[in-house]
Amino acid sequence: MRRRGFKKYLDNRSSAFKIQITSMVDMFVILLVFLLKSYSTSPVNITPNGQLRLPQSISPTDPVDVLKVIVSKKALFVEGQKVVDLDDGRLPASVTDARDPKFIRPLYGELDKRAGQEKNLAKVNDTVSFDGKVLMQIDKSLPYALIQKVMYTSMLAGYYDVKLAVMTKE
Amino acid sequence: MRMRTRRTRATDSTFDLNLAPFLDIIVSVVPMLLLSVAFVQIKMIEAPTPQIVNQSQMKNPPKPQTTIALKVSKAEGFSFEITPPKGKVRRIAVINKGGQFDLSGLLVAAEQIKAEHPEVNELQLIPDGDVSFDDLVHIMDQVRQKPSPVVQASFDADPVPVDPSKVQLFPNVIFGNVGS
Repeated sequence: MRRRGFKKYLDNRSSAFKIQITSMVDMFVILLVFLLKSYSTSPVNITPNGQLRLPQSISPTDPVDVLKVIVSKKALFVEGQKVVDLDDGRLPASVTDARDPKFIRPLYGELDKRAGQEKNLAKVNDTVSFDGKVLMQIDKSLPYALIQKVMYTSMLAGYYDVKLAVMTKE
Repeated sequence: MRMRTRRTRATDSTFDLNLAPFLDIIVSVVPMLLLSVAFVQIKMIEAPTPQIVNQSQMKNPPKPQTTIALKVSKAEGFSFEITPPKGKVRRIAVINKGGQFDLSGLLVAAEQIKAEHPEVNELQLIPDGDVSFDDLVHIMDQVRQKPSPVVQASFDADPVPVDPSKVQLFPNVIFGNVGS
């Protein structure tokens, strides 16, 4: 009698089974909330690497979407385009002006070109205006002597409203 | 004759939710969010460079007021130079401690100067060429505003809003020696 009951149980057993996914959904929902909270809509995107480490600050001001100049230990970029190669934060003498050692010629050429484009665009489009804003992403170990040269050159090209990108202490 | 009734699934007090479509959506959204996630917050500091004075400003020059400059030297430390419209230039030095910048001493000096000249909001930063950008940002943080006090969580009363004018020292920091 007992053997017959066990045989019936084996026959009735279904070949398909159901996975219990409730706990996995719980985990995904927590992950989703965390990711949504840390979702970035910032106009500044930085890929961390050894050549560009931003300093930490307590500044609460959000970055704005303006012309970006990156000064890393290896090179100087304008909107992602390499302008000058640097030797561990040192400028080669060939890129500066002999009479004005703070003037970086290739950087001025690129910034002047971009300022001209923005001014021409502002002439035909009322919603666009050239306001001389530039966001500089500078490696924290670089000396002020180099930063001063970059700021001086950008000032001469019309980009006098300098904004410095930093990281917040969180 | 009484008909036999069968209990249907709808009358059960418990039933299983089909979570598979919900899981499909989450699995699609999570990789997209993981790609665009930012684990560090990027902020910015305003540091305008001195501008060329235009003709309208030449005709109507602004009222002269006290100017405050902060010289930064890796070897000697900080030196405030307070220049009133009329009178002598006053200097306040904050020397280094153990070969490092004395940032707490700088804050004390900045608070003292702000108390004497509450109308001044601009500070000219004049660093030496060998000062690193990291040090400059810390110095700018120190002189822009007082450190925020530690807020204790309380359920008794509404938090009192802090007056920004009492927290700020010199919010407009400009690099004074960019062109020189």
